[in-house]
Amino acid sequence: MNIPAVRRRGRKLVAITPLIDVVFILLFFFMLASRFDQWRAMDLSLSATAGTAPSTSESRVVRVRAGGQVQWQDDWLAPAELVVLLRPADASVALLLQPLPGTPIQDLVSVMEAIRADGRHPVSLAVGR
Amino acid sequence: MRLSPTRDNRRHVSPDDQTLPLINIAFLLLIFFLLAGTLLPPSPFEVSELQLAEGVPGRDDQLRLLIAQDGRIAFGGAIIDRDAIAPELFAELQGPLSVHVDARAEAQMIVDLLRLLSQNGVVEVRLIGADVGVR
Repeated sequence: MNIPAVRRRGRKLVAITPLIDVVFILLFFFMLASRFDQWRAMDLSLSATAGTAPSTSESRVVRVRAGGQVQWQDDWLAPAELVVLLRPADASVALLLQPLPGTPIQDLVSVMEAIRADGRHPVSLAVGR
Repeated sequence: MRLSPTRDNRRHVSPDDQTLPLINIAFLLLIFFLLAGTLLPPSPFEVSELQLAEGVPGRDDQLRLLIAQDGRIAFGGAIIDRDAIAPELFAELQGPLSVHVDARAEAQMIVDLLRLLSQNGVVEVRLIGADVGVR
């Protein structure tokens, strides 16, 4: 006579081995698919550069060339030197950066960061029309 | 007095009990990767990120605009044509438009693209770049 085995007391409700299989698969998925980059953001207002007149009374177009140099009169300077030269000037003068052909966007952004770090002059991109 | 376990006691240690610490660690790692990482749609082309030293700590957005070095653009994970840029494209957008620009791309091309965006109802863009710390 075949008597069914008595169900063991304390038997687990969930089998651990299939559970850990699934957990490992999820773990590998999130490990491989996630990105852990640290981002920084630079906000650009397009309304000021979109051809409408800047809100400040005076603006000055500053040309930028490859290598991150900016034009000041006839000289090409590093952005830090430009910032020093601009110190005595009226702080309300807005600087409009205009990249020359062949300038990578990284150089333009670096110049913009340097002028923004000084914090005296509003700076934006000369978009033109 | 016998302190060593008898055969009878050992029978109750099931293999499941031995895997419990393992699954605890696996769950902790899983929760860590869930919380610490961000899932993003893969980029359709390679974008060499801008290096930013200043600026606010940024966050990645699902609805982001990617600009390749050769001027190709992608929005929401798919390559789009310049003609496809229309105000309706950015209707779901809340706040500034996140833009990932290839650092080697020509600045004049980006400026032209920004002008096109502003003509299509984008008021503010947020250039996203890798954090390089203070230089």
